[in-house]
Amino acid sequence: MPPMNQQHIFHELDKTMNALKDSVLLMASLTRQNLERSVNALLNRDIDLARSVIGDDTEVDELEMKIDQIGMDILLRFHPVATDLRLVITSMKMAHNLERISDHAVNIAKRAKKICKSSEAIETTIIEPLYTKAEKLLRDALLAYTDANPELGQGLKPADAALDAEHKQVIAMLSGRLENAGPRAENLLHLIFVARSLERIGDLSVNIGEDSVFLSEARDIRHEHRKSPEAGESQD
Amino acid sequence: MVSESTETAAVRIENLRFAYGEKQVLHDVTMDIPARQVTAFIGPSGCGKSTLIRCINRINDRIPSARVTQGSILVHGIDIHRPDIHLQELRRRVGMVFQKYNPFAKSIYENVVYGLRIAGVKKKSDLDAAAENALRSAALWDEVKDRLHTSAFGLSGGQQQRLCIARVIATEPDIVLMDEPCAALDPLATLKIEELITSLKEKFTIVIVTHNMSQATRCSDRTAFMYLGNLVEYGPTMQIFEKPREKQTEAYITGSFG
Amino acid sequence: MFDPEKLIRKGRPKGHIKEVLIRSLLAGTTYLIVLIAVLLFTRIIVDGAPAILSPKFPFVDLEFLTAKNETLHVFDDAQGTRHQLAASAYSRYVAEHQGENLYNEQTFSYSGGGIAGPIVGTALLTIGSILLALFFGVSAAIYLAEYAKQSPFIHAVRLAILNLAGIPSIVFGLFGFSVFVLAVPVLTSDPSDRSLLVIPLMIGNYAISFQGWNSSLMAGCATLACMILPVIITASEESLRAVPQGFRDASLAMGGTRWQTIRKCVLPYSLPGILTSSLLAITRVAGETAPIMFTAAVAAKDDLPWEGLSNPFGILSSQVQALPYHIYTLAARIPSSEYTQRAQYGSVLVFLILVATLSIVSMVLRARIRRKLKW
Repeated sequence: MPPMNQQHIFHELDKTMNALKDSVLLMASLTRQNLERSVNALLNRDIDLARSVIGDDTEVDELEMKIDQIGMDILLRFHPVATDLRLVITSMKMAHNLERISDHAVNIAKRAKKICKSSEAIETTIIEPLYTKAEKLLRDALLAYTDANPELGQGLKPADAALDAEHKQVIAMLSGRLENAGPRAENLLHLIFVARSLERIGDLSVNIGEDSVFLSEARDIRHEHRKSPEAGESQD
Repeated sequence: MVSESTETAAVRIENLRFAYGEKQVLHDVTMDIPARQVTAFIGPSGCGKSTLIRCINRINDRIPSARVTQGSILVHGIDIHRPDIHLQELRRRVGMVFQKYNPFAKSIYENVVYGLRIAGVKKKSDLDAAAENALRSAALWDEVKDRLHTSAFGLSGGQQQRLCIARVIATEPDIVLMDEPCAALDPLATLKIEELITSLKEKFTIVIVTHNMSQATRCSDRTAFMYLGNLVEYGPTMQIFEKPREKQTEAYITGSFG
Repeated sequence: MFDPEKLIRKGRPKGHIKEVLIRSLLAGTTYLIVLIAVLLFTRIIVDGAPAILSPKFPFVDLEFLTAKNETLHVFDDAQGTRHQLAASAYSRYVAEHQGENLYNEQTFSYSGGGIAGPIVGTALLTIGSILLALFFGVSAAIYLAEYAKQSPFIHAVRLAILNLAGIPSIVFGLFGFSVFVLAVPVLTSDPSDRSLLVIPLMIGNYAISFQGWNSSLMAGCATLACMILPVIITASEESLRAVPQGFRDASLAMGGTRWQTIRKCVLPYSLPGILTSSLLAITRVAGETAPIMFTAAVAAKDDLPWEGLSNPFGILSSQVQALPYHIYTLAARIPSSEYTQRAQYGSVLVFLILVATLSIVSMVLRARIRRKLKW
């Protein structure tokens, strides 16, 4: 649960805040599921799974709009301050990030469909290590948010750096094969895009981690790439 | 400005014009106040919002030069200015909580049962039961149940205002009018009273005048914005504060009043 | 840019002498008044103490306080001892010492016995007139403060009431005489000849006769009540107005009628103020001589008011003695001597004590009510 589960004197505020928190949690779990299923569809050549992922994205989009609506409602009615205010703002940002992650999952699913439809076989397992890293990043970021764990949230950068490096390698490898691919070139391109999506998912997960630090400690740790990426002491 | 009609209007105000002596303070106000909801009146000082709600229980009658020059007010369909109106009964059905809390200089118990006593209720068991009920509804019972017979002035400001609310709801009115009930209270006491208002609306129709707009956004279902005796805009609270239709309303609520 | 150095005072501030002078002047005036009051009370106590104190237990001359007023006989007996005896004791002495000669007999009216009669009379007059005045005065105050609409007429009414306070007490006495003693209606079966108007009733041979109550306790109380009405009305009106409007608003808004509101929310809280006004009135009424001279008081009376009556209400129609009148009689209507002076100062002191007692009772009552109401 997001931190500071305080009871307000005004119960309406409690009710609406809980509705907000619940929506965010629901959206997070849906997004993770979509990512998992889309990659499974790719790896197992499951076209039906791919189709259902694309369909389920509407629910995620609706949740984003709902979260924004509830957030506006809270800001308008209750003028929250301090933790309450940060919770509302980060919830709305989370919704945005999660929606983009889900869009990337949809992209992966679409590429998976195309790969499934084509007759040419291809080693899709090449992107598996990317997926593992990306999925772990996402999982840790969401955990940092729900467990109010700012250390976890701000320690995601090294893992993202590793994901980026892996991504470069995979792209290089795939691009190398493009030259002599012939009819398999299209599928290789799809895989390149899938790799890109997974890398972007990593970046978005780092954003989620930064938002969780803002929520817990009111510290904005974005754009600190000039400093050492080591997790730990802030300069505040 | 025409109101939106609802199925059960507790109070219907039609073309109301009101004056103190020669000075016209309300101009052609028409609106429906729905039952079992909280309706808030906002507007700058002197816009007539207090005057309007004081017309509903005719407490303005106390002021010699005050008079309704045109129009009517109907409470549950009955015109309250008809010559054979039972004024005391009207005031029992339409209770009022004032800006400056004014408990009597009696014990807490005597304050709460005052309305019942003057209505003729004598049996002690009835009075006790009503008092406990009212104090529970006003979220005051736990704080005072051990000192019911001590002076009301021993309570804090917020508690005294809640006592005044308990006093009003002890006679089980239909409508409770509140004229800036939190004006004299600190923020914590204010929140407690707003929480109380939100819980009371299940049983009573509540009309609240406030100069604090966030109070309107927190507690009310419908909001009416008044300016210089005119009803400028009236609608669901969220609509008024999110996308008001009138420029004047937008100017007031964003604090851009010239 | 202001200079912070200016905040430091150099020497005395300007106008300091003036401040000190004015303060001393005001304090001096106050203490001068206190001094005068102290001197006055000391004189009274010193002069009156010999009359009411006695050397043996219980150190108060109870006889002075409880015996009826009688003529003082002063004489020397055969041995040359001077006796001072009240009339009844004198008769007994003469009866016991028949045949003996008494020398240098002198009589001093009103100087012997005690002053029980005047004490009782003053107490009855004061209490009666206060009760009457409170009833009528508070009613009028409630009307003026709560019911009457503010109009020029009501302003005129208030002015008239205030002007009552300026009327000399002798005029009240004459008014009381011509109205209460001679003209108010009385239910009687035997109307007197000088009655102004007789309205026969159908029951028995009773009639309402406008013949007045004669000089009586009733007439005296009524006259005195008229005199203190303005004080009571203005003070009661003030204290009614002082009750916060919020109480009335709250009561009316809950469906109370005007009278319910006044009785339950306003009147109880103005009681302390009303009692204060009655305090002032007590001291005024107890000391008035002129209004009771023609309407109730009598210099010499053999019985206390409740003795020798045919029915209990007779107390109202009997004349009474009164302390201030007694003092006046001793001082002005009989020749002065050491014996009359003793009785005079003793009466004055007792009068002071009586008024003080009544005042203290009223203050205690007021404090009690204030504590109960707690606002």
